[in-house]
Amino acid sequence: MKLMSINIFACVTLVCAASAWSQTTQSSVEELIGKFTSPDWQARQAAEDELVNAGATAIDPINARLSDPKLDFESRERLQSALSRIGRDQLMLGTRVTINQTFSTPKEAFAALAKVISIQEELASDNAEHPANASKPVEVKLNDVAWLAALNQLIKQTDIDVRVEDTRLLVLTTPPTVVTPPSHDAGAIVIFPDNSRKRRSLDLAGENNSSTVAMRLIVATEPKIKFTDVGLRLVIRNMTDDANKAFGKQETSVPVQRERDCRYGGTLSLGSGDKLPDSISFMEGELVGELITRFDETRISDFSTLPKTVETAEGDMEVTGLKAKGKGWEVSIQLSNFGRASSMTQQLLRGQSDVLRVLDQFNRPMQVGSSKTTSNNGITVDLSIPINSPDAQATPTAIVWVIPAQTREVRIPFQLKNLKLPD
Amino acid sequence: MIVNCVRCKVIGLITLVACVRLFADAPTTQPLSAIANPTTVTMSLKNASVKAAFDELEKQSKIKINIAPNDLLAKNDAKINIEADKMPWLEALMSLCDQANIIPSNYGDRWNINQGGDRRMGGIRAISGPAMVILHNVAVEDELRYGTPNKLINKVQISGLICIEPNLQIINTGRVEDLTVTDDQSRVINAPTRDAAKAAASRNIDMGGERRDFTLSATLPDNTVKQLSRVQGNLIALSATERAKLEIPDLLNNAGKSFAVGKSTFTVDEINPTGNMYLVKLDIDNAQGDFENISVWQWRMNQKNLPKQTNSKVPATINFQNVQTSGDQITLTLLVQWNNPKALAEGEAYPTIDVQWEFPLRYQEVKIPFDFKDIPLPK
Repeated sequence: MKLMSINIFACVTLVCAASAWSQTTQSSVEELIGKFTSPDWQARQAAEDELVNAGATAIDPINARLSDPKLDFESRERLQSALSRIGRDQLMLGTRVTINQTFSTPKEAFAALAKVISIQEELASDNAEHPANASKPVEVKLNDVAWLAALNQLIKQTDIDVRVEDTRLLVLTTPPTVVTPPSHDAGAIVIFPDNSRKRRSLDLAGENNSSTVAMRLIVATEPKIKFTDVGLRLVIRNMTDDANKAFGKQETSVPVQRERDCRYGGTLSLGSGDKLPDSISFMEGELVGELITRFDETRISDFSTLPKTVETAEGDMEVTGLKAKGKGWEVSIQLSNFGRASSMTQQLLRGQSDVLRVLDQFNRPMQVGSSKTTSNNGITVDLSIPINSPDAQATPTAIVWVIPAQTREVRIPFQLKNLKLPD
Repeated sequence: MIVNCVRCKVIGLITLVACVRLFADAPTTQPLSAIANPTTVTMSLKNASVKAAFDELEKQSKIKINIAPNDLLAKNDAKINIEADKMPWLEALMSLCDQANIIPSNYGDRWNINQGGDRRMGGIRAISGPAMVILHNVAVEDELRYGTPNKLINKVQISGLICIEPNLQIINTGRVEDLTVTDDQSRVINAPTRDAAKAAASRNIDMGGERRDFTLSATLPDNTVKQLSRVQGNLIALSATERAKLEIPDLLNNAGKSFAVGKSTFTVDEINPTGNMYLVKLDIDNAQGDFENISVWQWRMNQKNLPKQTNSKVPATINFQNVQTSGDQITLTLLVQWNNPKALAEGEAYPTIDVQWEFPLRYQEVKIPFDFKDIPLPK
């Protein structure tokens, strides 16, 4: 997907605070931009590098200059390049966490960590014997650590698993099954292998044997980092087996798709035939993604008279019904003239309803369940979406459809080492 | 050679069953053999040509097998020997195919013999009257889950398909029950309780689809198992025991008219022309009386269940575009498409069509047993 615009400000503000970055003044940024017209190539390159080092503080001045239609070609290219590099560096830094405190229960420790990125901590079960409620002091010592790394540390420390979602940190009741796979920690993004599978197959019709081996790779992100479904892949450039021999292909591209909130997965084929490797000693490559840097929100409120229709960038959305169901609600929506290629609409149709936000009369977010397609004739699509109420008083008063309006390509290098494969 | 009137017996038995059982009753699973006998053939052939053998099979069973190219059987110089005395049609068919080195293919109610055939049907088979279960692939998957420590899980997956002779109607999603898988050390290795839900899901069978595939999964106790000594169980499916017929003359000029079939009323609700096709909405009222728990949508997978044009001035095909269910009403959108618009004179409107729709009305849950022994595992 090509860039829709240059503004990365929203991305950066979503990703992290920029306190660790050098404080370059607006005037000095302007001065650096001015050097892009220098006849000396090295001076122009040095100016771009220095601009990148300025980090988040350079973003507003860069955007201001990019809006100038008279900007020369090279300056525009360098400003765009600097923005992309700043975005990547910010991603690799991640939201920083500093907590030095002893909590009386694991739940309180997780809640403190969730608060850092403004999401809610929630227990997966109301059971009083939830392990996170155990009266067991948790001493947390985190000094300027990336949020995802801090979370992993807390999981290991408490032996309690969690699931990171868009708006909440769901604390599970089970002990973690995967806490320390070999991983690449890139700040706001962590890349790690989930599993590898060796599959031997016997065709009973012809009694032919065949074997394949593949690895499932996961990209986990901080909640507010969003990639479009179509724009995320891992490019493996260099991979050697346990005997330090290079794999056949020089470069392999692994499409990665969204599995659920904050988690994307892709499968890397490692070969087929008789001679399959037992382990991978080294893998390096690049995560290439279309990062969503701005969302447009379309809101429908006041459901006293239905149906109610709004036009959005993707098509028309009509709220056709809203009724109490069980302990929650059910909203019926009809989409028409929607962009079928849009990843957000596709997510909605697949039942990943986080592209819809439902707010109650106190402006609190209500939990939106998976949508169910009740009819789809290719022109209009009818969806039925369950909504859970946080309490008996909560009534849906607004529906917000969240659509990505701006993306930017980011490239994040990664390395993984010593990955065992099934014998 | 004797021509058996087995179809008459089958129809009689089906009617009897339909009379004593209403679908609204809680269905009781019965062996398929209890409600339908297989079509049988009696043949005695020695050194017969392949074409003559298949011609005789079709003549006796009245089951059409599509041959492509037309001279495929005539060019096959194998010699056929068969002694069949009231042999189930499926057994006779597969015996002829084996001797002629042919692999047939089966799509819903259509049976074909063409170059190559469906390779999977050359797997290990078990014929049980009018049904045939074939296992065509066994896979062992070693999954290494990364963590602390890593966890290795060995699973076996057995893939198969089920074929039912065309005179019977097997509809809707089926499932496998009573699955028992035993390894070569006499250990029962069914999926443990923890994975039961997942394993059960993998045993579902799309009975309405062209491919009646299923996959059985079990977790191996370790990686020392070399073969499965036994795989047995029951395929559960719905079999139509009674069919109904709806006839709508002059479909495109009959908007608003209603037709009663069984307990239900069919109303032509809306007709929308679009290009060289029409979308026709058909409302089925009081649908629960006849269609409760039945996925009308799956009917489209079987040619026999689709509405057909009965006048053929300009041939058209009719398929399901959409099915919506709301309370006791089903709204069915039919796509009527003229195959050859060029057959029309310039400016000539699409002709209206008479439609005949025969569909399954009553059902019976049936059990098809299978039992395989000594299945090798991949090396």
